[in-house]
Amino acid sequence: MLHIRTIVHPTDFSEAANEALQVARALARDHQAKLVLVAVPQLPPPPYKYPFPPGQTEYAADVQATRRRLDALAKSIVDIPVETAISTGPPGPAILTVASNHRADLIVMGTHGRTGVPRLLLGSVAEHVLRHAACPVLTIRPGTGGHLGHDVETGLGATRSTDLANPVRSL
Amino acid sequence: MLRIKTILHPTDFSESAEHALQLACSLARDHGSKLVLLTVPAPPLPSVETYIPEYELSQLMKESEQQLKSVADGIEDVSVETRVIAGEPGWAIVTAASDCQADLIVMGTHGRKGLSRLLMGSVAEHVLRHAPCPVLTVKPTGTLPKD
Repeated sequence: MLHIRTIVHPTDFSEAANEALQVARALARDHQAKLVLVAVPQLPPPPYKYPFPPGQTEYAADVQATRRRLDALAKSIVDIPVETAISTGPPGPAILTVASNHRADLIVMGTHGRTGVPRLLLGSVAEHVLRHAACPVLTIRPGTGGHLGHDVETGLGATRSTDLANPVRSL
Repeated sequence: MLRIKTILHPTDFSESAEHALQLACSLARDHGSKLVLLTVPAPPLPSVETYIPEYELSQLMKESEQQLKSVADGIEDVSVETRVIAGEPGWAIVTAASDCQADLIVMGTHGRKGLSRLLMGSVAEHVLRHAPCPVLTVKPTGTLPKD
């Protein structure tokens, strides 16, 4: 059995991220891995400089809000061990820092995020992570997550061609 | 267990691809997947100065098929298919993924040309942008979960 011990899933709470999260969860379950959810609070628009000057309350509020959202997301996952991490700064490097700190065996993420610029075939954050990560990276384009369907027998979710109104029964 | 019916692994027999193949095999074993090995042979460029024998495309295809078959023979406990497609590698891989209804593509980030200054090869980049299914990219010298 493949020893995947830690899976890192960067999220911005978008639909695309959620699709990737479901795959990350399933993989973590199958390989008895720990799931680390990472969120990077949105940087305030320029001009800004590092480190943030003490008066930057707006950004601090955003960090708090992100932390709350991430904790809520983590709480909703009950079947596998979950950790959360908030990383600040430009998203790509911030995600990689967490991945390296946790010695990620695998990163699972969406190709696009909330800003979802449609003309870009690959989002810039995903691209950065792909190029620089030491471990394998699984990228999931919105709408393609269904390929990694759930096992019918365990009754977890629906297979890709089934709608939720008619759940597939195990044979 | 997460159901992954078909895994496509494109290879150019480089070290980077070998790395990705290991992961592809392990995943296929764990998830009961069929593994489709694909190679896209590149015809040698004719040199202007020296005379070299011309390769017929069919000859090249046959050699690639044999090379791929010997890789397939070395894989145990997994159902393996092989495919050889001539053409532009990125396009060929994406087309093959649709054709064999791949649920996952597992590939190296770099190929034999191995322009290491590039953080990711152009073929991997093309596949990432156009693949009909999730793509798992593996670095040639990165970390790999062990079996």
